[in-house]
Amino acid sequence: MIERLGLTTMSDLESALRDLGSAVEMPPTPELAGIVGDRLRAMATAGPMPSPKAPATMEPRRLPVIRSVRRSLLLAAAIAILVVSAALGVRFGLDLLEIDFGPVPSISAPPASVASPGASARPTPRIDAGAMLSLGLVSTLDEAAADADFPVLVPDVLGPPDEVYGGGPSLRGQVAFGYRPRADLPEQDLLAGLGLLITQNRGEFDQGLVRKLIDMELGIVVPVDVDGAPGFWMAGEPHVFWYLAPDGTIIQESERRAGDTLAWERDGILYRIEGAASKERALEIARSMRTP
Amino acid sequence: MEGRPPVEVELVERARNGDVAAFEALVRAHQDVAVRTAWVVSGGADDAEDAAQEGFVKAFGALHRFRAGAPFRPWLLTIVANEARNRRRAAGRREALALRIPEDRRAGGAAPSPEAAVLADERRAALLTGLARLSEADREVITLRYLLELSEAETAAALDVPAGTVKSRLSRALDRLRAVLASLEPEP
Repeated sequence: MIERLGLTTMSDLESALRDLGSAVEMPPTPELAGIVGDRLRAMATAGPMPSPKAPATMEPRRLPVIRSVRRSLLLAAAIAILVVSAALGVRFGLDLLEIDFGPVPSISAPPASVASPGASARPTPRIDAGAMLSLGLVSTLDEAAADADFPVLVPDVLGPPDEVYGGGPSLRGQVAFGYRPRADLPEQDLLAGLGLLITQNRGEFDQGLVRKLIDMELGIVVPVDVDGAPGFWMAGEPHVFWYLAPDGTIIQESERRAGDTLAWERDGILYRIEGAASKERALEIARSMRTP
Repeated sequence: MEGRPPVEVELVERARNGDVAAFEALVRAHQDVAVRTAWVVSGGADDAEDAAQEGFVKAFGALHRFRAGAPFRPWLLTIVANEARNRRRAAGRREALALRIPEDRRAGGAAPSPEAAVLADERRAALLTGLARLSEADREVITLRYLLELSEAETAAALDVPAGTVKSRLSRALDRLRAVLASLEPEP
C-alpha cells in the first residue's frame, strides 16, 4: 500500500502530509485584527491607556539572592510540589510559585506620539482590569454570590468591591473583586491599574509542601494565621500560581503574575488578597471578610 | 532571513508602548496561523476563533514579557495554544480533531493526468484514515508540523514542550503513521 501510494520514504510521507494540509478544510479566519483592536479600545474606561511596557522607574524590589540559583530552586520546588500533590490527590493545591524575572507590567498612558489614530480626541481610556488579568466575566456581587457554590465573603474594612468578576468554567468558579485606586489603596502596576484584588475559589493548600519553599529560605513565603485559618504571605518578586486540576493536569493560572499576596484557606476555599500595602494591612483586610 | 522582517520588530515595540493600531497589524499578520493552531489544539472550530481572539488580547497584556528581538510568532502561539487547551479542558472535550477534504479540493485538474489525480486523492484519503487512527498526541504534532507547516520552534510553542521533544515525538508519530498506512487494505 505504501509503495503504491508513493510513500516509500519518510520524505515522501512528509511531502504528502504537506499536500494534505493544502487540501483539508480548516476553519475560516475572521478579521480578528479589528475585533481585537476594538476590544482593547472598547474595554477601556476612564483612565490612562494601557501600556504593556514597564517604565524604568517601576523596577520591582529584588531580593539579595542569585537569580539563577533561585530560579532553579523554585522550579525544582514547584515540580516537587506538583508531583506530591498529585499523589495526595488534592483537589487543586496551591502549588506555588514560579518566578518570572521579566520586567513588571505596567498599565500607563503611552506617549502621545504612539497613540492610535483618532485616540487623541477621546479621554484617555483604561483597559478593563478583568480582561487584562483574565478574571472572567463582569458580574455583580449578587450574581457572583448566587453563582458560587461557596459563601462569597466581602471585607468589612474595604466595603463592597468596585468591580466583580465571576469565573467561567476555565476559572473553576473563581470570584474576583477589584478595588479601584483610592487614598488607602494606591494603584498597582501588576493589577492593571486596580488598587487591590481579592479572589476566592475552591482549593486547598498543601501545607507541608508549601513549607518546603519556606525551608529554602528564599525569604518570600511567610506562614500566617488568619483567625485560625492557615495562610501564607508571599512577598518580593512577582510570581505565578500553578494549580493541580481535578483531572490531574497542571494549570498555570494565567499569563498574569501576582505581586505581594496573602493567601489563606478556610473550609476548602482559597482566598487571596493581592496589592495590600503590607502584610499587616493584608491581614486586617483578611480578618474582616464577612458574608455580605 | 529567519523570522519576520524588521517591520515586525517595530510593530512589537510600538505595541509594547500601548499602540493598539500597531498591535492590530500584528494580529492581521498572524491571525490565520493563530486560528488554525487553536483549532488543532482545542479540537474544534467553534473554540478556535474565540481562543485566538482571547489569546491576542492576552498577548497584548503580556507584551512586557516578550523578549525584544525574539521571534514573535512562537511566543504568540504559546499563548493562543494555552488558551485553546484550557477551553478544551474546560469543555471536557475528548473527541478527535475532524479532518476532511471538501469536494472542491480534490486533486482533479491539479494532477498531471487522470490516473495521477486518482492516486493523489487516494493518498490523501489514506493519510486521513491513518491520522484518524493515531493517538491524539501523535495526530496533534503531525498536524501542527506538516498540515499547518509550523516550524519546529512554533510546534514546540504550540505544544508547550521543548523543541527536542517535538523532534522525538514527531519521529515516533511518523513511524506509527507509516505502520498504520502499511496495514491499510487498498480500496477495491
